[in-house]
Parts: sequence; structure tokens; C-alpha cells
Amino acid sequence: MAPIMKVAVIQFPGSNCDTDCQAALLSFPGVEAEIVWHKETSLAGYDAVVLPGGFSYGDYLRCGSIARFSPIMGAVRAAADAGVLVLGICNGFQILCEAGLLPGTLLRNNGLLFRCEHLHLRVENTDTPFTSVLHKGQVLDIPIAHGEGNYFADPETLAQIEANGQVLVRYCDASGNVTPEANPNGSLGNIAGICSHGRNVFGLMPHPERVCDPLLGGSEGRGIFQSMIEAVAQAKAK
Amino acid sequence: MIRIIKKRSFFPFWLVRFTERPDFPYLMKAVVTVMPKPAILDPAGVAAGRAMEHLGLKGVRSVRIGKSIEIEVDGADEKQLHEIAHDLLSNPVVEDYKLEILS
Repeated sequence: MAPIMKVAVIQFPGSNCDTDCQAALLSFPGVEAEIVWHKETSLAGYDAVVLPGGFSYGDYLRCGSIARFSPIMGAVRAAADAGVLVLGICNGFQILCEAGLLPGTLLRNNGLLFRCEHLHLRVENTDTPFTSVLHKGQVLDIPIAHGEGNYFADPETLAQIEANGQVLVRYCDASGNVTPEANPNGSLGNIAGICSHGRNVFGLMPHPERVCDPLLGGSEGRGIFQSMIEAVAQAKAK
Repeated sequence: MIRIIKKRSFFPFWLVRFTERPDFPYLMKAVVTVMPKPAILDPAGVAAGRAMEHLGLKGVRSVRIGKSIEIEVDGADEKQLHEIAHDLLSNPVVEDYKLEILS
């Protein structure tokens, strides 16, 4: 039987969440997930692409700045333009910003510390292929692990993405209030994740793949992957 | 600002024409300085500034930390170096770069 969704998990030198992402995806029935080395140049046949977390190229120069020129990125860009779902987690988000597939960029955390902890995210928009099974205002408990997650964009870009509903998740406290205290890194507007104008590219700093199994800390990250599966299944049914 | 200092050739005059051929691999030295844009908060700079005050330096108004990238390359053209400084070495969203050709 053909899989419902076939996913490419891109592996850069220095990626370290690639197999976690693959394992999380394989825990869904009907999903096939393959690791694709960054030297490949084609993503034909894949329904979705995941850029996993890690420290591609040792985070040299800037996070994601060298990975952005990897051979596979041409295919990722072409896939994004063609409407294929592209999910960037942590370092993957940084790579998508560097590549210009998402607006803005991620700066050093304002406290200068590498923050590695569980915190809460509020879902802001459910009208996307990545959040469709969640509900607006839902609070997710998802861990972060980054040193450069301080989202920044110039005021016009920021106003534009806010007006377009491109902010999908924000850092919040346990009861869902977006407060400065709940912001771990100084992100503008507590932004934790944004999607592209076309809604098919999503980048977020927290790690949903780390909370996909109740035995390993929770299952609150499953909604994001479940939404992707449903979006792909719906597109295929048409 | 771009400063170009022509190095005097050590080749004898009858070889100068040969060394000035565009395909002759001469060494170019360049320095690219990348700095955070003035509007961007530089937390590392702020922390370093506080440490300076702690060491007794009075009246620290601003400390900003950037990068300096030294490049030695055989026969590159300046336009290409500008492209590389813009696309790879700096992130135009938050950083400015300055390219200096030393020789």
C-alpha cells in the first residue's frame, strides 16, 4: 500500500535531531520517513520535507548560513514554491530564514544563555496545514533547546506577518497568557514559530518531535505532524 | 569604503605585461567587516560593556561586537566578493558589511 505521506528528513553535517524526527514521523501509521543527505539534489516523490534541528556546519559564521547553500536547498526551495509542506525545527527554522523562505531572522538569545527546557506555546492560527487539528488558543507543552532563537524582523515585515496570521505559535505561560516572563529568548511578540505567506513553509524553534511519545516526556507535539498528514491526505484525495 | 593599494610588482619590466594579464593568478587580500545594524540590540556587546564598567572604565556608551573576515584569494573580482559578503558572510536583515581590498 502506498504511504499516506512520504517525508524527506534532510541531514546536514551537524544535524542531530534527524533520527528523532524520523522516529517521531514513523510512529504515525501510514507515514514513510527517509533521511536525505544534504548533497542530494532532488526531492521528487516526497510529500513533505523536514529540516531537523542541530548545529549544521557547527553553526559557523551564523546559524544556518552555510547549510543554506547546501546542494539540497535548491530542491527544498523548488518544493516550497510548488506547495510541498516544508517544516523547519530549531536549526531548520534558522536555515529557512537564512534561505529567505521565511521572513526575518533569529538572533542570539537576549539572555545570552542556551535555553534547554520545557515551556508552553499558544496556538495562534489553525487555518494552516501544520496546525489544523489543534484549536486556537490551545496551550502545548513543548521543549526548546537553542542559543539563537530570538526572532527578529523589521517593523514592516513584522506588521505584515502579524496581519497575515503567519504567526502560528507564541511562547506563553501555563495558562496561555503571552507575557514577557514567558519569553525565553527575547523574540519579538513572543514569536516561537511562523509560516510563509503561502502557508506551506513552517519554522519553529521548539522541538515537537521530542514530545511525540508519552514514554518520552509527552505527546503534545503530535498535533503538528498529524495536521501535516491530514493536509497531505486531503490533497491526495482531491 | 573601498581602499585599493596597488602593490609594486617585483617582476622585471619585460614580464610586467604577462603578470597583468587578467588570467594571471595574483593574490588578492581583502577584509570583510560585518557589524550588527545600529537598530539591532547586541546582547553580547551590552554584556561586554558592563564588564568594562566593572573593570573601572567610566562612561561606556556603546559596545558592539561584529566579525572581521580576512580573505586571501587568487584573482577574484571585486563584484563577486561583494556578492559573497552580502549573501554568505552577512545577513542583510540584521547586519551591514564593509569590504576592504588590501592588495
